[in-house]
Amino acid sequence: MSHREISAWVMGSILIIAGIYYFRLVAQASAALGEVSPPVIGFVIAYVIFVVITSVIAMSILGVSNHQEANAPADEREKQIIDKAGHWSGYVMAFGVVTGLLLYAVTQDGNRLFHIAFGSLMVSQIAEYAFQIWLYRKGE
Amino acid sequence: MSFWEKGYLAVAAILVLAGGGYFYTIWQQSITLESVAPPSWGTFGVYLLVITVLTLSSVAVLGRVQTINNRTSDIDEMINLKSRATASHVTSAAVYASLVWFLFHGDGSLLFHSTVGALIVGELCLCMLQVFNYNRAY
Repeated sequence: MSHREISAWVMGSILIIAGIYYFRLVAQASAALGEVSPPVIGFVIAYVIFVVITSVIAMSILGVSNHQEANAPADEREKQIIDKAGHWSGYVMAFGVVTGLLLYAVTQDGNRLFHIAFGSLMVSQIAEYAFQIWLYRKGE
Repeated sequence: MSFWEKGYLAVAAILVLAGGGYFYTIWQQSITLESVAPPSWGTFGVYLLVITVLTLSSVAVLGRVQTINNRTSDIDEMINLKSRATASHVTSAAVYASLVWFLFHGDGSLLFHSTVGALIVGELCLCMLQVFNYNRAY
């Protein structure tokens, strides 16, 4: 497995764990309120700090363990995979965000729009890594 | 200038025109209401209609349908992919900015309009990147 594919696995896993952690907090707060809870800056900051710290640690470990490959620039095939995955993940994000906008137009619930848009950004980032892994595996 | 460059420039101009019109209308409505106007299906429908009609018209005017169907070269594909991937990241950054802003003002309608703005900025960025990458002969 190439260094980039391992990185994609690691980053995807970190984002999934952080996303579940964040939305569990939101679900608990919403259950306590009996409606969609407003976004809490503390939750968002906790999510960002978790992602940053775990990514830095994981990438440092990966970089040290495979120094040469980690420093090598992406070749043409890898560049295409990265671009293709980035392009496709854009559709995932757009779908989620537009769904959130349409729901807002019906429900007028800004908190729900926030959580849907934030969730779409998380899912699109995870999807980008998933597409990269799939394209690496497919031997594109 | 190729058909695609002209096409993307035309779509960028249409996005600026329609987006400007949309936000001007929202601004006027907000002044009347003395608060941020909630999204209106009418305004949004007109915005989508204007974009669709003007885009189709520009394609018809620039009209070289044969060229459109022939977009298969590797360099075209690379330019297209790279531009779309970068535009997707720009859109994400703009949506993140809207969300961070919402954390401070807490106004759902403002979040709606700023997110629509973020999507327009992303599309505009896509058009400009396509033109830029064509000229750069990526």
